[in-house]
Amino acid sequence: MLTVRQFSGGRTARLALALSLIPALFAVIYLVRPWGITPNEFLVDLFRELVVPTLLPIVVLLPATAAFGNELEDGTLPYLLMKPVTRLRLAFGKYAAVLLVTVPALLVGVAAATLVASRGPDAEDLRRLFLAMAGASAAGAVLLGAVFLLVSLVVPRALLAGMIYIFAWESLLGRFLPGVQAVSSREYTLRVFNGLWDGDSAAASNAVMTMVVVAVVCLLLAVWRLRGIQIN
Amino acid sequence: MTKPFTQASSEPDSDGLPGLAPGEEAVIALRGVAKWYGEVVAVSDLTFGIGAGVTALLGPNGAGKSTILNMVSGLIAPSSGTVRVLDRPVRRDTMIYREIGLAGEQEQLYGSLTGREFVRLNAILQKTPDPDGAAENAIAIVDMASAAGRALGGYSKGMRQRIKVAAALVHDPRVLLLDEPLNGTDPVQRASLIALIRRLGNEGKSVVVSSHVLPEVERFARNVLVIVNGKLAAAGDFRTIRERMDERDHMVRVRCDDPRRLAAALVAEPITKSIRLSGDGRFVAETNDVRRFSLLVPEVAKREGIRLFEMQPVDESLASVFSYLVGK
Amino acid sequence: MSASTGQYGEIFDRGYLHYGGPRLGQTHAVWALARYSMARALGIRRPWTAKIIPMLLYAAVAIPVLIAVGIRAFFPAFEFLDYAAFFGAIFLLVGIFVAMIAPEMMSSDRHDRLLPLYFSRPIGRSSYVVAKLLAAGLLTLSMSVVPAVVLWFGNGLLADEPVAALRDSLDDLGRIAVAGTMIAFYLGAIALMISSFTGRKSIAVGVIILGFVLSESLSLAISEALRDQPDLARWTFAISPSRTIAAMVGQLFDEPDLAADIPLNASLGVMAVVIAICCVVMFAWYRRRD
Repeated sequence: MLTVRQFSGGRTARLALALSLIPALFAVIYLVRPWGITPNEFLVDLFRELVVPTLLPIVVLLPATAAFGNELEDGTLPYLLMKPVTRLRLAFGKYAAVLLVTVPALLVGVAAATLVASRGPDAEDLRRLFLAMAGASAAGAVLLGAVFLLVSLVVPRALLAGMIYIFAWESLLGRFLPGVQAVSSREYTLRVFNGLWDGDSAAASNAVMTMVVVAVVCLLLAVWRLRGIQIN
Repeated sequence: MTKPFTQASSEPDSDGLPGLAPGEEAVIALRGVAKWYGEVVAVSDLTFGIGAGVTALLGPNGAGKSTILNMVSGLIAPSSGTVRVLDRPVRRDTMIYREIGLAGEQEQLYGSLTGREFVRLNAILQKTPDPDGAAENAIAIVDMASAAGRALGGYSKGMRQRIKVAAALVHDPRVLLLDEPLNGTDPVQRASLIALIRRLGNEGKSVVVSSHVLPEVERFARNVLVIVNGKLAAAGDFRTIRERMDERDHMVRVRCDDPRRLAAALVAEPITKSIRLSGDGRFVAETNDVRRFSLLVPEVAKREGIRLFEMQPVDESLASVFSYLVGK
Repeated sequence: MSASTGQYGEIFDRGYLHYGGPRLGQTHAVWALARYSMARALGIRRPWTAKIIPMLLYAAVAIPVLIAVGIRAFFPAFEFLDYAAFFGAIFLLVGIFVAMIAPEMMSSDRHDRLLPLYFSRPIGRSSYVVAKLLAAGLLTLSMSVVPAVVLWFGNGLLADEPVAALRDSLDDLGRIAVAGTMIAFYLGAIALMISSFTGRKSIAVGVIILGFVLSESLSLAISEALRDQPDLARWTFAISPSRTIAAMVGQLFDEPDLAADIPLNASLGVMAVVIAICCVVMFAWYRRRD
């Protein structure tokens, strides 16, 4: 409740929305001078190479680490902790706020990119592609929102740590060590996307299940961390 | 160290805790509480109770007042001992916060909210039945109605103090913890805050106000807890404490190689009122003139051929802290 | 004099002393602020939690270099890491490094409202910016130049005739110095400029890293779109720090793949212009703030 207020109209929400619209910018460049690929191929490339590995994690990272991180940094967390609200509800409230900011922003961004690209040459029906991208984005936000919320309660400089995770862990190590992919959020987000896109709903729902389970575990750890937190 | 002395130390009281009048019930109870950070001990050996009415938590800066308030609020956990509010453990059960309001020392508030939104938000999170009414009421109580529509980011220090107090009492809690609420307020605001604190105390709430200025506290609290170096140094009615301080002013602790003989020689002198031997090469003497006594002791020791190691007023730290608090 | 009004007024000499020590001047003040900023960014005299990430980054850049020197020691013929590969690979690390230090230097001062304190002291607005630039640039050298010099030294010492090898490869050392210094001040200036716009460290960190990453994708997309005008398309590298750096490194160390036909003067010029723009923006920004 508080966090929604804190975000909505706040700088973080605007930043999340602005970042989410970056794919549309790429779509505009594509539209001005399409480089010999169909809108379909362009969008799939865009989603796989830019949105999933980079943009999605950062759009989620900013509000998720800010949710508790800013309160810790500013010392306003006592106002939330000293209320007759269980730590469970507090964590889930913050989590809901993060999703309320990020998921609509991501959907708007994906929709805008799809709309712009759909005016390119030889556009097919992009609805299914849009749904696949939207679903994968939402699933990614559900997972990463919970992970980063937990990180922000445990690690100082959570955002920097998150960035290093996104860029160093997922992109560098993921390339060299295939094993890293098994614990990579990008991998699971892509599985959801591929599942929805190829119509393999079993694969998609499997990936979604894993992501939800990890998210719930992270949130419970966050609740546990909130119970023991010491504020000076 | 001698046992902390209290107003009621001679008679047992219902909770058996220092700081409470006989038969008074503890609203806040600390038992054997200590808090340390690594090697640094912030507070230790705290056992006391706080009842209804206004209680001042007095001590110089860094004595551990905020640590105590934060432990009572459940924001930090004691390293050992128990903290109970209304006979329930804090930090276990968040429902206790319906009965606790804290105006803490932290400066930052949600800068983008207005004063009214901030107080209202606290009311909502407290699940007050009528958050708007409660917020308006609390804002009126601290005289902030005219500035309540402005963003907190632009508030002056005195305004922030008052809006924090409003947020702390918006849900009408039975326990109100105010950490140096008079800091940064101008004389008019100060007077109205003091009147407010007195009124809340008279209504039967437990109001704990921390401060490092005794004259300020005298205007709303008779009951004080004096914290020195993280330990409870005195508790009870502050006038009584003061009288006993004056008494203590006449106690001198002496250490020498033959305390028995020196004590016997000193007792013969007219300015020595009494002497208590403590066995470890020391004794504590009571005199009605410390200055003359302190000249007398070495003289007597020399005459008797006794080696004098050390001579100092009893509990100098408390004495100096007290004179600092009184603003001498 | 107030004596004419006939009222009593007196000023007591309570023995306040003027500062009698030497006045060290502007340069010293700038250097002091720069030194303090560097220490703060590395987490020196702060809790160990503030030191972890700098340490990790230093470890991340040191380990490959040490491994490379180690491999060289046992398999002289095998070149595991050459300078071009090193500078190509450290862009990400240096990027994260400046994204860590610059917000610590700029945003914290805004968040903690320290600027009025600085500006009421001998540190003026422009010398504040200069000090921060100096701090960011010098600190970043420790990520860019120092490891490369270690690599160079290791390569030289492990040669059959160390002294001769070192002497012969002196021009490599010069290239390392140019590349490392340019990278440090170029990325440092960009990161400082971004950080100076916000008091929230987290937002600054996010925007800096994202800016580095996205600018590359953006410039590639634009160059893709300009495919039929290769002359124009080539210049899209200027948008992207990573491509600019790659171009410079490619020319310096003779790697045509990296250089992508972009002349050395062009990439160096772009970097100089970007540094200048960042400085001008910061000077203007801090001049206006009260």
